[in-house]
Amino acid sequence: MITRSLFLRMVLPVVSLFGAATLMVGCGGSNAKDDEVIYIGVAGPFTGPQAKIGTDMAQGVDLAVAEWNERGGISGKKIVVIRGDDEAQPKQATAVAQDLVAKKVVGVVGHFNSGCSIPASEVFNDKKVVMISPASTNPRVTDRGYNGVFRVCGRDDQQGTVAGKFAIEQLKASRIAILHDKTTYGEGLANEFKKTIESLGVEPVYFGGVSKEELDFRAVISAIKAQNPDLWYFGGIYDQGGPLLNQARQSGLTAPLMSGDGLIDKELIKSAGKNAEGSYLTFGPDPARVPTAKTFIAKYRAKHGEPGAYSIYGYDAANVLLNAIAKSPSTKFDDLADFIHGNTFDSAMGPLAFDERGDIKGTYYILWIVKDGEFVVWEKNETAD
Amino acid sequence: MLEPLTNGITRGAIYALIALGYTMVYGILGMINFAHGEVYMIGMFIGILTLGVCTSLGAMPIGIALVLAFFVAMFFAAAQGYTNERIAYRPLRHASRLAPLISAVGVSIFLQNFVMNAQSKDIVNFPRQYSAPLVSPAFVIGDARVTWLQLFIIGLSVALMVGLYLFVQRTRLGKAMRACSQDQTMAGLTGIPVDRVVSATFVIGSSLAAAAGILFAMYNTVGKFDAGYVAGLRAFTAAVLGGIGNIPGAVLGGFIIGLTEDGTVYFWGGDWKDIAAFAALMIILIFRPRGLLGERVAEKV
Amino acid sequence: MSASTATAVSRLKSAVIWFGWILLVAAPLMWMRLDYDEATRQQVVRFNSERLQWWLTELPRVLLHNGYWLLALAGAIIGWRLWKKFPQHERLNQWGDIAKRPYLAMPVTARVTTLWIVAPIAVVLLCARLGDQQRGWGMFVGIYILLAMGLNLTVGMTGLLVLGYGAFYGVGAYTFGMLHQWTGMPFWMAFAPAAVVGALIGLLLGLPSIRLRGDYLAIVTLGFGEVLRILLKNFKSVTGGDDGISIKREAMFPKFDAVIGFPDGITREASGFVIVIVLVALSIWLVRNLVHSRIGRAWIAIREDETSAAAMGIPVYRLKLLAFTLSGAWAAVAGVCFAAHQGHIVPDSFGFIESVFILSMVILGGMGTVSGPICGAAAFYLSYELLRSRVPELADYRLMVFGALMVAMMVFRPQGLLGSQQRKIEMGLAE
Repeated sequence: MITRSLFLRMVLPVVSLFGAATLMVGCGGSNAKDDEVIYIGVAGPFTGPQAKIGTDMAQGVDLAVAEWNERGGISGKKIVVIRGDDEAQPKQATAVAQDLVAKKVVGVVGHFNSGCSIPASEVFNDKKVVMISPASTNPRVTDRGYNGVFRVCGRDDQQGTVAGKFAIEQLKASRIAILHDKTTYGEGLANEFKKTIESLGVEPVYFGGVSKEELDFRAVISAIKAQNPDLWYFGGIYDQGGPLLNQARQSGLTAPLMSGDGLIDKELIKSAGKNAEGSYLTFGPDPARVPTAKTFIAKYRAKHGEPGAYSIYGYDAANVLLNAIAKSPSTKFDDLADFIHGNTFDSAMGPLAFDERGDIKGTYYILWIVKDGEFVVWEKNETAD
Repeated sequence: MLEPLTNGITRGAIYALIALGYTMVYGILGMINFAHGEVYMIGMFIGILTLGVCTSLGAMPIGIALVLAFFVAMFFAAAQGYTNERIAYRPLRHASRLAPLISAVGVSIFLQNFVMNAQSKDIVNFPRQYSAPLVSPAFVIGDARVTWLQLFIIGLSVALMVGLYLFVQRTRLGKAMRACSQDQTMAGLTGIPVDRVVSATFVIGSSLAAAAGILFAMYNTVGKFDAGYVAGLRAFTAAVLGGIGNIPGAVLGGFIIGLTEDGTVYFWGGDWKDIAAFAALMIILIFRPRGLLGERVAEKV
Repeated sequence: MSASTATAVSRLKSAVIWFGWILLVAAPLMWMRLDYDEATRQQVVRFNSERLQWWLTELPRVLLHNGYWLLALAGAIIGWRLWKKFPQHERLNQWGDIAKRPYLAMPVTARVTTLWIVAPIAVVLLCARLGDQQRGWGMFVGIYILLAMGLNLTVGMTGLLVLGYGAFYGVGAYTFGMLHQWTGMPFWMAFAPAAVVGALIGLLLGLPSIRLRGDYLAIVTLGFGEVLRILLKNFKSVTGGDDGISIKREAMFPKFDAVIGFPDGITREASGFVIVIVLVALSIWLVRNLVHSRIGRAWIAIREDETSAAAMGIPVYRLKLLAFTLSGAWAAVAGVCFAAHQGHIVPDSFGFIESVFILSMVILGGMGTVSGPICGAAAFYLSYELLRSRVPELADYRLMVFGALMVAMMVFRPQGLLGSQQRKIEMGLAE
């Protein structure tokens, strides 16, 4: 006789296992019209605290893809973008990477955070898919020598070096405090900065980290204040930079802040307001001054509104990828990778060429400053007040 | 050296307000209200939203806007706390100890993600114009700058704490609450409406947490959906430290935890801030589980 | 008839009232939205019309698009009606029934065991047809089954609520990672040391905490989880900090280029899947033996009423420690599998959210049973990943749904999906 408990204990496991198996098989994501479509993947944080910059990047990619599709696609095939959300978590990053590979993408623009790009690149390298990161700046992304990993942004060792040199040579700072958010990006950047200023003969008066979820910085601010710095550096992202600046100014720490590309976002100004005035930031060249970028900005504004700092990088990375797919002998991994290594591409930021590691050739970072609530490129006659 | 002291006392006052909610609920129901941190965070968000509405409505004196924000936030947080209790805890009143705990964790996760989806996954800014006049320094002791804001936070917290103490000691409802925490069955038998007293406890605790939320957002200048989880754990540690179920204990515990955090960072660096509270908790629980001011409770057979 | 409809109607009424109340309480958060006014550089609030639009246009579209889920729901309801038809207790009509249905002579446990041997074989065979992504999922289901079974030992059987289980998971992964960094060892050599370390850490955590009351123990384990995560982040030179540890490809789950019978080679996911399934089968055997032994019964006695159990001569303290130690070892083994699959481990993967996931799996599946955590792990993980993959628009809401599910389960069905009525009574009236 079948009692209720027996029914449950026998049927439920069977149903769940077979149901799951059927679901996985049935919805195996078989893309029916494979021949008429080319898939490219976009991976980054589309939910979570960094959703905004992730989405900025993805919209840049969407713009590039839309332009190519208007021109007829590649060899008559339409290009379709598949987004993978890694929530800025390394574990999701590998899952997303595998998901994109399973959906048969030819190449991927992503990831955004260095902590995600590094493990994802393992998957992409294993499965032979080209990856171009628009924003991962940690040196390890390309240092491992994978042929198919590229980036269109700079590296943290460049960024930290530029910042360090600027701090010593231009700002003549002698007492420098360094803070970071203990992440791959933030701590890596802070370490590079530290190495540079030490090589120029200045020891930091403070070096410490805060958890990246922390919102109350007064404790470390007092420690920094006690050292009387004339400049302080923060390796981290804008969602911490804002409250950090606010609390620092409230506590009476008046020295200017220097930071990296993680803080360049309008959100910083919204958060910190006047407290952000006079902060120095390292970032790539100003798109507004590059003529090719102006057309990009106009087109982006028409479709998606105001571009974020990384929209143009997403756009450029996508264009490099699409150019490679269109012009290389085949869409096989080795051909694509070799093509990208061996050619110069026209991008919105100017001509792009890659070295054997996958980094772009040429120095890249310049100093910006916050002035009147806007990010402007630092000119020699501007000082922090 | 003095700055960690003033910072610690300020933060400690806020923790104490939240800890009061934990301790009161534990005293009456014997359960840890995991979702209390989320109620604090909801109060924070509603306060910021109310101030935003005040800004949208045009020029309004800062004092009135702040008072309005406090009241609205406390109202909604109280409603939230009441709802939590009715839906997630009351049906489990007679169940095993595990069930309400797990239910509380579920409520906590639900609320956190709800606010994350409904509002913002990113930080939300406390509108600067409402805290601006308070940010200027009141006086300087040594190297420590004490701002009016810090004095306001400490002052308001202490006022609320004193208010609660008087309420519990002097009013009928307060007496009923004390009776219920001593012996719920007897209290019921003497005619006290236990269910209503429990609801009142949640309402009061949640209002205090909402006030703490707004104060914290003012102090930190930002709020975030996971602020409840972080602050909640520390406040719970404070409640346990002082002796859970004991109202003055929660206050004492709050200040101690606040000072411990700042002290730890001062001596050992910012890396260890998060561990400070947990380490304190584990040490207390291992060596003196009843807390500083708590009474020894015999396990009923 | 009318009495039950009357109660049904009043229940419906109160449900509607509560629903309306909740909407009211949640209204400001849902319908107001902060905005930045460029002109005045101030923060203002406006009505969240995008959300209204989403509800009116996007949500129906998503629901329609994923019609097969609704079909599955219909199937579940039909199953429920069927279930209600079956009687509660078994009434054997002596030998006549057994002659007609010989399987009735097998004890129930043997029948279930047979099923659990048949089902994995079926799954493995099916997987020959599936792609790598599905095998990866299957492997993760296996890892989570291991974790759920381990946590079940403390939470389900002994009644000790552990909220920091993710830490033990991380301990296993990091033991493998650090040993690999120093000696380059491959994953299969790491199972033993990881299990030992996991057990040791379980023991160390248990020694001072076992004496504490249930709620305190929960908080201490939670604190331990967070402390471990932060320690991993801070000691960068040893653990790699936030960068984590990378496992070299040779030490991960193996990949074969061409083997007899498999001309296309065996991918990493496939070999990992098989290895994990073997571990799961081993675990099931171990756990069933534990559960049906004196130790298992003693654990249940401790869970039901600790004082009486002690009064009856059960060494409560020692058995609780044993539960901690064993569950630590289980999680560590799962951690090694995780590291061997991912190739890169970071502290953030083992935080509070992970612990809550595993706890939900145990609870949803049914605490204290053998098959409960297995079902819970499979159902929970698969629905989580499938939802993310197939319905990306609703991906944000998954955790919300799971939180609400936890509350609903506790209120309506505390014995879990596979629990029995008896278990429900145990959970309801005990203590």
